[in-house]
Amino acid sequence: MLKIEVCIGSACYVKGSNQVVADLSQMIRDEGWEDKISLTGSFCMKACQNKTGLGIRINGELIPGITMQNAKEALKAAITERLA
Amino acid sequence: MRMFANDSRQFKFSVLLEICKQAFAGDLDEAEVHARARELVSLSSPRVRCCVYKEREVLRQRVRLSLGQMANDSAPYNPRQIVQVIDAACDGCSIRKIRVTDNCRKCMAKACLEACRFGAISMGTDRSQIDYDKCKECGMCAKACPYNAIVVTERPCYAHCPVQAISWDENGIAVIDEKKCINCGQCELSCPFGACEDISWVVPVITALKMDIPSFAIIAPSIQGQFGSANLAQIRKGIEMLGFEKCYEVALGADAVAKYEAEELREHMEAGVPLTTSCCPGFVNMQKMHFPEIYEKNKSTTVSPMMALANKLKKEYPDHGIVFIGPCVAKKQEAMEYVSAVDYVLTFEELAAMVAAKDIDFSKIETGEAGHASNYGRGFAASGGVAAAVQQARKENAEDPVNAVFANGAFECKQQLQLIKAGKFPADILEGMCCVGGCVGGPAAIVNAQIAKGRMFKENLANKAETIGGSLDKNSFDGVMMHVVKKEETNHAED
Repeated sequence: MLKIEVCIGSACYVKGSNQVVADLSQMIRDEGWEDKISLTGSFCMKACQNKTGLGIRINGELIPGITMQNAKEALKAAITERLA
Repeated sequence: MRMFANDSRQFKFSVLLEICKQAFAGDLDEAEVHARARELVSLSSPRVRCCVYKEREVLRQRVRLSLGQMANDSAPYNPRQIVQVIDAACDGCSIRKIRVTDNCRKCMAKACLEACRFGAISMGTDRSQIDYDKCKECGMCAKACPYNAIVVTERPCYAHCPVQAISWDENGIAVIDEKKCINCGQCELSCPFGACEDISWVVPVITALKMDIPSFAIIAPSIQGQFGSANLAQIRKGIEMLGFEKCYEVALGADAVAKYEAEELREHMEAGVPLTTSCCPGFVNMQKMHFPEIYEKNKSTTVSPMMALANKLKKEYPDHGIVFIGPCVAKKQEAMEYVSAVDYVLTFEELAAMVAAKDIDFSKIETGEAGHASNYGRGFAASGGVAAAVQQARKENAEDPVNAVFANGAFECKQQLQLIKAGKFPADILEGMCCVGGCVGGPAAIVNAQIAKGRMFKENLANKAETIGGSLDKNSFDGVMMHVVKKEETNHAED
């Protein structure tokens, strides 16, 4: 079971993390990952301070370089890799 | 449901309510949000502006603000600028400050002509007239007229801005100078067209609640009396019903602030330096941006009550989110310009919209647990309350009362700061509150300040015995960060 946390602190919200939450839940439904992934939110995980893109953690590990634009592809790759 | 006394505030509420309903219902799609909000303005709804298209543009910008976006599409996101101009809503009010009205009787004495020292007034065919090339807008003619035929009008936003941050462009549309603006919200409170508004964070807060991220709500003391007959216990329970794990009174933090500020005051008095309070973020901004030497020398370094309680909760529950709910727009900047213990700030208006979206009626809730804060902490909600609490903290420590000055409203704040700057301030402590009446008169308060104060007084009669010391015994702030640290190092705004 992968635990994905998306930051919805103000800095990430402004950069589109709400959209990423929506995209991820859609992706989980489309791929049939419902029992493999739990999607949850988090308040500020300081990704903004370290300028590593949107705050997104998979099983506690911060995934750097995610933006609203590349979120779908990059996260799909990251998830597929970890599910394999 | 009608909540607000004027149509402009009511309309703002309707937009927030629509966004909250949609956010609670499912994932928000921006295009759909705008499409559904459009139903608020139709060809058959009463016209308040020139045409339905203009109203829809105003609506679109209002929706943007409600979604946490800048009102102006092309403006880059700026976490500092909470109060923004909805340019489509700005009426570009007349900028002629002095005008002759048809009260003029073309009298024999013509006191106006005599009063004008710039030769700007002459007698026209029906009434006296002003040569605006010569007029210096001093207002002497208006004072001289026995018929009150000459009026002095200023744009409400400009007249109410204590720091001259408002000007207007070539089309008369208001512009806020971000380098001067202290986000006090006085323009928002005064604009009859609802053209100055604050950016809102209801959507991410609702998202967090829906995702069950554990969160606390912390409520400003001025919430008492804002929701009809509902008492504090009902309000707290009702807020928890939205999905917050627990709702705390910020008055607890205020009790701690009173104690710490009393300690600071002692040091300031020994050094002969007047102390200025730090609870009002508008007042703090005014000092920081317009009186930097006072900010360095006089301003209390004690954190605000909001930050005190948030620091305490974050220390005890580092994984919990903290949402402050108050009547204030400057608090949004205080909490969110830099990384702080407060994750989001909502206003009473926004809370009312969330509560209405969930069909919760505070007054029908079975009474829950009452708070533990003292009436002195709760008193931070009204002008005079902070200084009174500091006096009480001294009294509980067997110290003599001090001389205090209450600056009630932004203009009095400015006046008193000028006195400090000139070395002529007559007291030991300056309590500054940018809203007239204190926080109860805040730009996002729901009910009239006097009514709220009356309800508050009545409800708190039963809590009279509680002291600041007693409150702190029950809720210890030992080990909590109670002093302001340089926040500039933890900026999370830049990309």
